[in-house]
Amino acid sequence: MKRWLFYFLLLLQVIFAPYASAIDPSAIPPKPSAAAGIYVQDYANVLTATDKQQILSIGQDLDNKTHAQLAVLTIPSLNGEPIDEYALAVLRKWGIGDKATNSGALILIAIKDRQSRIEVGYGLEGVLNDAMTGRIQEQAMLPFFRQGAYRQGIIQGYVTTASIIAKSAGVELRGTSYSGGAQTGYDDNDETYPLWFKLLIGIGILVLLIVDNLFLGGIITQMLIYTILRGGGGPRGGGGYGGGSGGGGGASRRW
Amino acid sequence: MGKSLMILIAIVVIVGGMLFSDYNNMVSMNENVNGKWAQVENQLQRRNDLIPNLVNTVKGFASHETEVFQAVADARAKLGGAKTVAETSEANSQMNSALSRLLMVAENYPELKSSSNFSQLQDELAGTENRISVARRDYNDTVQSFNAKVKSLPTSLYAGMMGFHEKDYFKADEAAQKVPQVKF
Repeated sequence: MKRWLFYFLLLLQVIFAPYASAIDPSAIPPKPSAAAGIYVQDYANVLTATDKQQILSIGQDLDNKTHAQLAVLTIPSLNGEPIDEYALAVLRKWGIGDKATNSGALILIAIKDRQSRIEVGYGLEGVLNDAMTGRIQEQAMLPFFRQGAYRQGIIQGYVTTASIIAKSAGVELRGTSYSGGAQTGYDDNDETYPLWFKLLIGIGILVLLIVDNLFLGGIITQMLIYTILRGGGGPRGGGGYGGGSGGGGGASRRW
Repeated sequence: MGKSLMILIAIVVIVGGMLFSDYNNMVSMNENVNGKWAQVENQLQRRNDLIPNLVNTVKGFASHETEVFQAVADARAKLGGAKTVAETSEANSQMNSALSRLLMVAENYPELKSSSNFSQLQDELAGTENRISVARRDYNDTVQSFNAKVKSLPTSLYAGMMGFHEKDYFKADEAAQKVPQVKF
């Protein structure tokens, strides 16, 4: 009976999904699921499994320590779209970065078009200004790209960009420095709640769900499942994009 | 007697409620448009701040190209004096063409082109141009939904009385809007 309300809200969210772009949204790769690896999407097939693993682990580390999300997307071709519009459309459609701080960035490489771009979300514009993103591409990426060494260029570009973000946040990333790769001893959210407290919360949630299903037709349950599946809303539990946006910051290069 | 009065009251309440919600709706859409416009102005200002730097850098290598510098200065003054959306978009087109001429001139000076200062400024300028066009598109999208609301029934009957009028789009000729692509 109240189910219509849920569907109505869902419909609203779909309609008002926060991207507006001159590009046909269906021309853009779909938002990857949390399991597919949100920090790297290799549509051009230039990376090996090890490369992706490396990027994923640096990306996760960066996300954990600075709450900034840095993603790489390789595509074979832009199909004639301008790279700046394409990159922004991806950034907005995927929602890279935290929703509140918009701290996300995308490294886009269009292999056949021989073009690259670093697209910067609103929240990272101070750290990654346009001149900086131009220089990263020129120094860390293009020299490799010109020789056809896409793997090295992409990894160099990713590591360089991630390190700059980490440095400005005052942290160091694992696997980016060669000084012995010392662990920073950073401990994420180590919860120290006693067992009975956790049990109590568990029981509380269970009771809530039962009441919900009995009296409200399961609307809260559905909302919860929807939220979890969507990977958005609420605090992020190490997966999915945050819903960030950008306004066209960054720089593009050709090689 | 009592019954028809009740019906009348019910109608007044329903119509009043519709009007209120419609009004509130327009207020929030109006604010949305204003917010997006502020973003456009923000980015125009950002470019405005960038221009003296760029001009001075180019001047260092090509001081005699006075005509181009004058065109940029004129466009800058015009943009600064623009009040309405229409004036701003016109001044913006003028600025775009002045800047692309400036960059074209710069192409003729290899030392200028290869200076790292210039390449940084060029990135900043290209980035800002891109931000302006994004802000413009976002603004136009909100204007579109605002205008659709104001012009459609039944809102069109009373939107004017409530002080909501159709808004201007930020027009820009697409040719001038394109940032000059620099090949490396």
